[in-house]
Amino acid sequence: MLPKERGFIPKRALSYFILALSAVMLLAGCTSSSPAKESASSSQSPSDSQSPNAVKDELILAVGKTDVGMFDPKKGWGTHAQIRLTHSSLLTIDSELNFIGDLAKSYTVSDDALTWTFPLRDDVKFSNGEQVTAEDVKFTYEMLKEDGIKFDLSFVESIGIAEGNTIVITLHEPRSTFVSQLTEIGIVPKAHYDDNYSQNPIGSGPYKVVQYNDGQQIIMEYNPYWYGTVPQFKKLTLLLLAEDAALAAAKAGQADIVYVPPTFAEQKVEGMTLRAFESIDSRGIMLPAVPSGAKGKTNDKDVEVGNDVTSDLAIRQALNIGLDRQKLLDVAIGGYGQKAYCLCDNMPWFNEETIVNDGDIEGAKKILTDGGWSDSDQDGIVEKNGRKAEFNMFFSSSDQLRTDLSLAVADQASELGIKINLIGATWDEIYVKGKTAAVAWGGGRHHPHQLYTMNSSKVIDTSYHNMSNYRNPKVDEYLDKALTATTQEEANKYWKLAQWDGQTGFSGIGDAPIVWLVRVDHLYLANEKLNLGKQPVHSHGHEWALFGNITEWTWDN
Amino acid sequence: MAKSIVIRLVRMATLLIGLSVLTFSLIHLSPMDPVNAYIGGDTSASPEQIEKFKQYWGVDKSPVEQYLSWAGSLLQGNFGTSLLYRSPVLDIIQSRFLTSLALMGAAWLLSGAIGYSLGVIAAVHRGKLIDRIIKWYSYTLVSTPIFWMGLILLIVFAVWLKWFPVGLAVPAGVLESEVRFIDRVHHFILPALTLSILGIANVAMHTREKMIDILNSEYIVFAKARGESKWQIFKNHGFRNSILPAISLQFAYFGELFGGSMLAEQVFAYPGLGSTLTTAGLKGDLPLMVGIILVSSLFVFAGNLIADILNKVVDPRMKGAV
Amino acid sequence: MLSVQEGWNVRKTMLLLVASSAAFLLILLFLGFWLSNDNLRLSVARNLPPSWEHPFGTDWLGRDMFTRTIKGLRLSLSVGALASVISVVVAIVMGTCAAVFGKAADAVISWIIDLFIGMPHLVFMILICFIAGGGIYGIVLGISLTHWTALARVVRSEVLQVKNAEYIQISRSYGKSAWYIARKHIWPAIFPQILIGFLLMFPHVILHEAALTFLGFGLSPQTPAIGIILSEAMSHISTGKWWLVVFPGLLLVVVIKSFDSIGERIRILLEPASSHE
Repeated sequence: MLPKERGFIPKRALSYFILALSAVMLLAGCTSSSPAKESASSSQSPSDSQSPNAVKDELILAVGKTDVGMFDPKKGWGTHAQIRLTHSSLLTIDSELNFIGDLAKSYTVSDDALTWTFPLRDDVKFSNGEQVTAEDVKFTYEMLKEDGIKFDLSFVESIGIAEGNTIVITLHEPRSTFVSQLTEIGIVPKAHYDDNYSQNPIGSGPYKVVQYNDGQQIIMEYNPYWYGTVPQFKKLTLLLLAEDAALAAAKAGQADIVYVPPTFAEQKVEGMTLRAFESIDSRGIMLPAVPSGAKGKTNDKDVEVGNDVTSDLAIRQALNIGLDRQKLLDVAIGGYGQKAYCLCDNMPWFNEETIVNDGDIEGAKKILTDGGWSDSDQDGIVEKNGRKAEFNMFFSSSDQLRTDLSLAVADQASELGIKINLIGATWDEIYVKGKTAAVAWGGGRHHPHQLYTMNSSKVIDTSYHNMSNYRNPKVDEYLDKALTATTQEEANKYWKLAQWDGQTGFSGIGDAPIVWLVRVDHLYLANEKLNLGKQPVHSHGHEWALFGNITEWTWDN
Repeated sequence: MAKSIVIRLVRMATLLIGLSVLTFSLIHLSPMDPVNAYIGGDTSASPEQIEKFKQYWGVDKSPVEQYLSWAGSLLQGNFGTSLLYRSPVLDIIQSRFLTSLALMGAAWLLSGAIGYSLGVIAAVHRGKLIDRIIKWYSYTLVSTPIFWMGLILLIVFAVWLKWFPVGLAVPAGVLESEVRFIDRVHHFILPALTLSILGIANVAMHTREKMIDILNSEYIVFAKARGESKWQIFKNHGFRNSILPAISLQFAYFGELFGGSMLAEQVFAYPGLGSTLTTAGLKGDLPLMVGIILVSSLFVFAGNLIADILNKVVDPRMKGAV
Repeated sequence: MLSVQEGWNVRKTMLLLVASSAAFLLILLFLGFWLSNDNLRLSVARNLPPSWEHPFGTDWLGRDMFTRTIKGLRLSLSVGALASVISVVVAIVMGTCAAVFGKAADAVISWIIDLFIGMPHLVFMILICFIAGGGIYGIVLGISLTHWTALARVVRSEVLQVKNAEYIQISRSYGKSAWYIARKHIWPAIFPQILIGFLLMFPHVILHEAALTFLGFGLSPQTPAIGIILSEAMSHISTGKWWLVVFPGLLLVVVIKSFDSIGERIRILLEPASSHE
């Protein structure tokens, strides 16, 4: 029998080989991955675990891609309620969704709703120690008003400073949703704001950004000049991980709290518990309401507009009553959510008449038949004038929830005789093609402003508003009246009429440019010792909705 | 000898030119307008950037002129700017190149060494159990998709046994400056293993065939008659005659290696050149895609060239000339 | 005494093995058509491990993995077949032209072949797929345009050999037309190679199709394609649902290996000399 073959290899060859292998390993070890961008004031404290007796004051979170807007209001920081960690705003919301003062001590509104007065606190400082003054507020608002892209302040006439560190904002016309914008606009320092603000964002919130690695993580540290309740956690590391990577991090004990899409909700991770928060974060299908061949703009780029199938009202209405929302919830979202019929279910401006008996396949088929659609060639898809009821639907492929929901929707639609072809894409691609096909859409805020931006014909071709290109003069009228109402009650009346006034409206029983389906719960796996305080109903965006009460979070020992 | 090398180099150069022409014409044939692709969903491209881009692609000139201007830029090292990362393509390639090189290099070495050894063992013990096992193993592996292999390894070693991390190149949440060398190696092992496993099968098979041929030849019979032990036979005759074909095969393997690295990097979320190409392809970042394709093709052509030369060297007819 | 020719011999074993592999594949194909699409519907029977009712388990949307896998394989086989046929046609054309149209054409075509062989397959397929706009069309195009090279070389060398053989010269001196010669002499000579090449191309093509769809090129998530099934399963690996990955991949390996062994065995049957390798 032969001695082991490997023994023959001359020692020299073996050692060369090992040398080569270790050189390669060395190479692997010494390369750094994507370039890091460190802000000027980066500090380096060790991120490993602390001694068990110390009070835990560092938190590692993986709650989603949280860097959209790059800390700069001009780039959109604040449109999804991001500012609570880093900036102050004039007003904020408490856990009962009441508007209370943040930077402003209080606020008063004149009877004609055109003059808003905010006496400011005197004890607010930016993270660099400088005082926050009315000048900074004036600067911020004027800067955003002039830019106009992320925040629409065109109805604001002027921002003035009055005696006693007070800001007075005068409007051209009443704006009922103004009070919500006041909670979204973060104040930036006049003395230091420029185009490079993102690299070193100075704000007056409880935390300041100390390190930002593009696409990997954001590290924030406690702002020592913070004027509110001192939070227990002095350092937050926000990991920008994909959903499955976040789960893996949780399982490996590398994160204290992670966002989980519904399919991961049943995962058992030792030492972690599932937290489910109700939200008004709604999901629906945005459908082009005009035939193909039109042109328009999305985010300032020229795009094609229109779809010949979805522009038929019968198709949209059939989907609205034919899809079974509860089944969608059960199959795609594991039951973690509620049915939704509009963007604003459960809010004071929701019109309950828009609730329908959904899952009504017979009813949906009747709508289609009445609309002229029938299955003449018996292939399971209805046709009208030779055109099949078939269209594309885009969804964001990095979002497991939207992926699963879209699959479930297409699955159910096939029972109605409608064929939906799903296309997973990035948001960039969706913006380019989104006006020619259906898009898995989402939204939902603590205020009704989105009802306007999604349904008014006046905002077509701006940003990504009213992607359906929906036009209804009566609805426009109601929306305008709602916006310019002087009281919340009056506004609510008009919001409801816009949804359905008995004859027409933008809701599912009316024109249905967007068929809303569900409100999803925000699910997080968090360490059992982490106490998240009292959370208000979350708004759209599981990445940021948690942080409204960040200063109240505790870690039980 | 030198003459044939020069001929080959010239040939490689023409092939590279051919490749660039091919790539260029494909881009032109495509229904996609590169300028539109650039502006795509990007909201912040300034007019100057668009102008620069148009100049790079030579939008308003005739196709031939466009090609020449583009090729010219390439030779100067200007590969254009990536849409996704907003920086010069060459920079991105450079930063990811080392990471990929480490992965491919390790896999290459491992698959070469282990594959060769297995092939030799199989050949020497031909027909016996060990040979059958190795043959079966190689045949099966060749039919296995690399990414599936990677997924299985991931499930077994990372999720069940928890010996290795589930992905990425560095542990999550750790400051860049504090990532330890051992962490990097830790993240690197599973992808490297995945990539090498397939290579092992290939090399083992070919080595085995070559070895069998050699073992069947006359001078081996002579050696045996002279009383040389199997060990000595291998050392004196077998190794020398089979190592060069094995090495040349290794060099020709570069192409598969690169393709495999794309898949392995995708499975393990390892940020190397392969996964960058995948992302660029999926998101339509044309300049980056083309840049990586050209660079990797250069790499593969070089490998083929070396393999070719080695083959010629091994060819006994050349021995006199050396 | 029964002579080896009539009794059971190695040749008959080979034929039997080929037949059984082919039967296996045909059954799979048949199942692919026969299994109802209803099993692909989403349901609340989610995340079930393998059982009698669901031999491969169900996924997180309640879809039966067995049906999905079989249908995915059917897609792979169809794409594989189409791409292979196109590849073979291209190879025949290129190879024959190189051999028949003189030195210049030969040099040019050989250079083209070198060019295509030199490129990393996956990389180039991605480029072609991207340019062609994705979808099945892009995938088939990408695969077929990169896999013809090896067979083209073989066809070229075979045709060259045959072309210069004596019986061709004789045939020509009889005044037979080129077409007749091609049909009667050249074609039968190269046919075995083509058949073998076609069969052996299949596994590669299927592997590459799976790789392309895995990376995300071309197909919508509704289509059950093996690559898509595996890439979706990838996001769920951390959740411990191993059956989402193991079974589809295993079946794919078995299918590929079957094709491979059919190809190899036919090669040995048609060219007994190669069985010694």
